[in-house]
Amino acid sequence: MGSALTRERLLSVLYDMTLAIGGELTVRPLLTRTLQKLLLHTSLSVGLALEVEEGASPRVLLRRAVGDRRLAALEGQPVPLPASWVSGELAQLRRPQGFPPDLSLFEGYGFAVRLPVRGLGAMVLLGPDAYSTDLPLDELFRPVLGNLAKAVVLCRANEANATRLASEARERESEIRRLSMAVEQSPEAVVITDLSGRIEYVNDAFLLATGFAREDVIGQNPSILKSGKTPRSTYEEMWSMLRRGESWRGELVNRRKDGTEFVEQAILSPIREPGGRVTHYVGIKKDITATKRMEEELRRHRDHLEERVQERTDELAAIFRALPDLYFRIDRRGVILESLATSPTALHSRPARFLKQRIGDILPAEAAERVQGALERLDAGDPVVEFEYELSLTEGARTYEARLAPLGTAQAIVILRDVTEGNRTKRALGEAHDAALAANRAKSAFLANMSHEIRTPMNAIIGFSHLARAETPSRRGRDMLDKIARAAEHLLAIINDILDFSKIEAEKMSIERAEIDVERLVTGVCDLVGEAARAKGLALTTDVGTLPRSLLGDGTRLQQVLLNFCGNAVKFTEAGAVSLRGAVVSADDVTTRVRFEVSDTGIGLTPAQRARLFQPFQQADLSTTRKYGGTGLGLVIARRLAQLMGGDVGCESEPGRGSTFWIEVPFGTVSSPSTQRSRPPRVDGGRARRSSEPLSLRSPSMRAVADLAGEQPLRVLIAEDNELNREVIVALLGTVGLAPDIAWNGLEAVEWARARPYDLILMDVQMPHMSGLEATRMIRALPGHARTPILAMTASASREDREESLAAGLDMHIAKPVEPEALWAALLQWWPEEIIGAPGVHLPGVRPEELRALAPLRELLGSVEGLSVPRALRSVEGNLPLVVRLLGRFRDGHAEDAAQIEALLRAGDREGARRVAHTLKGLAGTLGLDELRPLSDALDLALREDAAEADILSLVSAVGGDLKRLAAELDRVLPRDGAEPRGPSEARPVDWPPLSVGVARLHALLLADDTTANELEEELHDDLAGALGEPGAQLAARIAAFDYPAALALLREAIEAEPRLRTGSIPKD
Amino acid sequence: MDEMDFRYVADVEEAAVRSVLEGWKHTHPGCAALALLPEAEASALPALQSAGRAAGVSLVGGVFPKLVDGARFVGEGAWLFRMDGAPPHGLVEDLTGDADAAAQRIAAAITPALDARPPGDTLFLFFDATTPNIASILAALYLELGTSVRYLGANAGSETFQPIPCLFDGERVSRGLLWMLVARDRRTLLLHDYSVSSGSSVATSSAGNRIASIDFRPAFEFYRDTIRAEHGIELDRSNFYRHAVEYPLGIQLANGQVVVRMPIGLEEDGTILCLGEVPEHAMLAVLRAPAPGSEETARMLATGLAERGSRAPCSFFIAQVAGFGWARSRSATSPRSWPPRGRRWAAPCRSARLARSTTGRIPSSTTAPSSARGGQRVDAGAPPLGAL
Repeated sequence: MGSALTRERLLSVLYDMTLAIGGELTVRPLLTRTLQKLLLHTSLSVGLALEVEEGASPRVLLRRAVGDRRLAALEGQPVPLPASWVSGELAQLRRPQGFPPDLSLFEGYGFAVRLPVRGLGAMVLLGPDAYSTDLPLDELFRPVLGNLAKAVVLCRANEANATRLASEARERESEIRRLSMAVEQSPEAVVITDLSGRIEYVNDAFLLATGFAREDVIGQNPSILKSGKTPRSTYEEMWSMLRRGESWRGELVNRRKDGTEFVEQAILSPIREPGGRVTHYVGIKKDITATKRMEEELRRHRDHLEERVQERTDELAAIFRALPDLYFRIDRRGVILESLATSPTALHSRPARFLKQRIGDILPAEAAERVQGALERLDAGDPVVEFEYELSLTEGARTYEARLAPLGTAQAIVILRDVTEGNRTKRALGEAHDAALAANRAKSAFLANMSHEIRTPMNAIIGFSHLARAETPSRRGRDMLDKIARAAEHLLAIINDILDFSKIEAEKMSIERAEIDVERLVTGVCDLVGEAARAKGLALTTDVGTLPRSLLGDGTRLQQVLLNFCGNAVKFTEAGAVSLRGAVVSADDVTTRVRFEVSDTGIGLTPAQRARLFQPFQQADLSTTRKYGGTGLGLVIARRLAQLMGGDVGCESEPGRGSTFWIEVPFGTVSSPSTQRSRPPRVDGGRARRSSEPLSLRSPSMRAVADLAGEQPLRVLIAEDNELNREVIVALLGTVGLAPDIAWNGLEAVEWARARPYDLILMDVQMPHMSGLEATRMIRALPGHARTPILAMTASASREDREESLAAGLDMHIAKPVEPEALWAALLQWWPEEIIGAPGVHLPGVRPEELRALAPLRELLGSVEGLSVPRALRSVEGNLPLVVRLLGRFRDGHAEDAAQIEALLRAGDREGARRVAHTLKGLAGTLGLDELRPLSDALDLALREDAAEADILSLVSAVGGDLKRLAAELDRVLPRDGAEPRGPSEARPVDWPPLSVGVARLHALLLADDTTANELEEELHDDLAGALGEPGAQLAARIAAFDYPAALALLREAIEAEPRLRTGSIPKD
Repeated sequence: MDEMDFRYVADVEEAAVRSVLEGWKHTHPGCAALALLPEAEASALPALQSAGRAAGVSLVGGVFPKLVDGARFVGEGAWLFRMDGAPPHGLVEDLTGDADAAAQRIAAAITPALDARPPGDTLFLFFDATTPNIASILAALYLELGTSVRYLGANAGSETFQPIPCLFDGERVSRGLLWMLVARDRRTLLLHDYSVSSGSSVATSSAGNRIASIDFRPAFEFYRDTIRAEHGIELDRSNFYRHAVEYPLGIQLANGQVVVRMPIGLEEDGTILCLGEVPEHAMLAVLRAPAPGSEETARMLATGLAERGSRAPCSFFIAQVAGFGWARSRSATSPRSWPPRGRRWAAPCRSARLARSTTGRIPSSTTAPSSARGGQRVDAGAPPLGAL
């Protein structure tokens, strides 16, 4: 130590160093501060703290570098210094002496002081070459280095401790956090108060349970929850225990913020400091309102259960008293342990007598064996075993039913019942049931046949009236035919209604799903009611322009509903208009909901009447029925159909203000490029069609068929067993110039088809010898007939029938009775592209000369008792000559049918007899034989139902009687062997002068194009026919056709030929 | 600063300043300027900044109590120094709070510029004199920058020791720190020439720049008794400042250096306020200023410069240690005639005598930056003393 330095200065250095070394808690700041102080006091510029890492090959790490950024960047890394160098003695070193072999670390420094630090390594201070100091560096720092070594150890220990403490603190914090979360998220309400009861903490469950917000309760006393229902003693006990430092557990009735009460199960405990002093109270509470309620419920149930057990016991006792059964309790060996009988006579002995007896000892061997078998089955696990056995008693045999059920594992209950009477009744009931089923089957068969049986004659009626009309020259005649046709159509409609209704009621109605051409459907409706509307002078308008072109659904049923609505509207409207509107209610890719409305300006409905609508067999009122007719089923069917289609119908109306009937139905959406197009509203009617204009004489389709037939005659085969039906179709085809081949049954049809090619075959389905289906299958197998159109004709219109037809190879289905329009449509549809060959069969047409005799003939026929001429004409489209011929054939072919039936019955051929009766019934219907018809109907039914022979014979006799009478009547009016019938007009002399006046007037009217000419012609018709003969008929036809110029020419020719017709008033050319 | 030009501008008006700056820019494109303003001219600062912007010369500087011009203090005008090579510089605001954090912010501001330049720069620091922990900041800054720079600096601010915005650049004026990196400069020396006049004592209670007790006695009582015993001067509250600048306190280091801590205030309980930190338990001594008229300091400077290879003529600043002023001297002194070698660099360049000779006034403070470096040789790269 230099003498120039004072002792104080050196001491101050040591003092400063000691302060620095002792002032740090962790290693790095310790090293930093120490190096800073060393540099400060030595004026050296760089200080390093080097650590020797002991081991097999010790290395040196640079722990801290102060004053040199290059070296500071190496902190924490091994440095190229030998551990031995670092561990060397305290020394001042000058390059190169004492410097380490690798000088790179000390680059730029020429002076170093090495200060060894035990347990660490060394502090090395660096300075420039020129560094000089008068400090005793070798000695000065020696005292503090020991302290530094200890400080390093202490700091390291402290760091390890701090790390451990930090880790423990983290764990503690985590633990506290977990506990805190557990409390926070506890489903039970937790509340912590200070000793005065002020709430310091509540968890979320508390807030949820009480409905308070946290700020509502913090700082408050839990008494804010008091409901006043908790007994005072509860609180007293609670506080007493808490003050003693004990936990309290109990129930509190509290009140939520919203005033509702709840029961809490609470555990309140003091919270103690580590020292044991109580600082807080904690409450853990659980809402047990529901539990309490359930407990109460349970308690009530328990009480109730006891009552119920008693009740049930009493009930069972009562049941036993009331039952006629015998009761035994036996063990599994068959020993009777208890017996009971409500009737003293039931056991035929005192019950006590059986006690302790084995069943085998008291029952006959067979019955005892059964009991034993039953016990074995009970042992095997059967829950109940039943059997019957008989006992022969003095009063006769009795049958007992035994039921055994296990009672535990050792016993069984036996219930015996005397079923002697019951079995007898059951047998009788079974027989009655079988009979009822048979009757029901018969009824079902009857109903199924109804359609066929009703429609077949309707076929004849409608067909013949069509034909007859065409052949009826007089307006009155045609008028009557029209009425017949309308009546028949009406009847058919009623029948259809009833059948539809029955089907719906029987849930046999199925709804189809096919593409509907909306416009065609609406046009069809208009066409069908248009005539009636025009007749009443009603405007009929439609507006369906916003509807899609196509929809998916049951078009037939929709049309039926709309027809009903429109028909009603026309029917109940005297003046004004009927409109049919359609609009889309909603639509998506799948469903289009459409609403149709039919509005009229008719009589309207009162609310009471509206309420009765849509109810079966209801019309608005009885007077309506009288005035307008109808079954009252139409609207019911409409509603049911709509409902079947997933929609509904309804009505809005006021009396005198007209009505609007609507139907709303969801249809399938048809996705096509232009399903919607704008169609202008259509106005139909508005003018009355002249009543004399032919309505259906030549429809457009008929004309089309006739035109086609003129160009390409069609080769047609008809297979039909019923003669009348056959004639109707043949006649219909004849009107369009077609002459079909005729087969009388399926077998013949096959033979015809084998022999000839055909363009079209019309096939009745139900035929003798071979059914239409079988015949079709065989024809299809013939060469050249694989693709021949074969159309079925049947009255059975069910889907199943149609499917069967198609499966058999039939191409299409025409419903009977065959409507002319349907026939034309079918022909047009199946008309072949080219025709091979020419027709070979000639159909007898209406001879022109017959026309002359028609009117008187009709009157003549009208005089035949039991013959309805209009009905007969309806069957043949008004073709009177045909009726005459048919009647003639009937007289010739069927007068002896009764005798034939009787003979067949005698020969045991009931089926043959039935077929004859059936044909007779059909003919009677078709030919309007009103007295024969019900008789033959009854006979047919009796034969089909195998009625008693006496009944059948009595009916045969009645039919035979009527046939004889009819034959005599027909003999009176119809000449046999083709002789012309004699009309009364021929007998009547022509009164020429009045006729000439009439002719002159007719001439004037025709000249003036005055339609009164038609009326006058009617008046003069018979006289003109008598006076003019054939030209008279022609004249009538021309006038009827409004061909006035032609009529005028005819009339002039006639006047020219017959001078007696001339009067002075007829101008000459 | 390879070459330095400096001008005294009597009227701090924009045009005058701008004229000087534009002239410098013309002859030395890319130069920057350092401006020293007396406290009384602080209101002229905007004009000064405006002139710098107008001339396109980067301008930084500080506000001081007075300037030295020739042999006198002046309270008006401004000194302008031309700095060639546009030294990197910056303001670091708000040094309050943790010294380590402040040092890290300063280092972060300086390091990018430092890394981009060749080694050997001098880091020139102007601190706001009222910053309470300059020594700690410097010690912490040494941990960041180490010997990569040489440290030099001064304090700026008001003579009243009230905080004022006293450091500025071309746009801003702030408290805190102005730093400049100047190219290796071997001609700048900072010295003080106080000598230890008493035995060592311990600051038994101190915090920051406040010494509450020395040797377990109230600090003022100890200080008064020591002055009386050693120099026969009777101190009281009224003459405290006048004598304290003559006999400041010093922190003694083992290597013989003394860090000056100028007492600048006295509290009721006898606590002494110093310029600069006094760590608790620091070894203190009472110092004595060089005698008036002594040429010792100038001689030490000349010797020091000569040792570092600088030859006359050279320009240097003289810190007016007592009054924060700056003096300049164009005199070139032969270094060889200056103090004998081996003498420790304890003697400051004490221009206070100039001040005294001109104003007769005893300034109340010593310079902080000079204390930071003490009388040690700036190229030695030794650490600042703030860590004491």
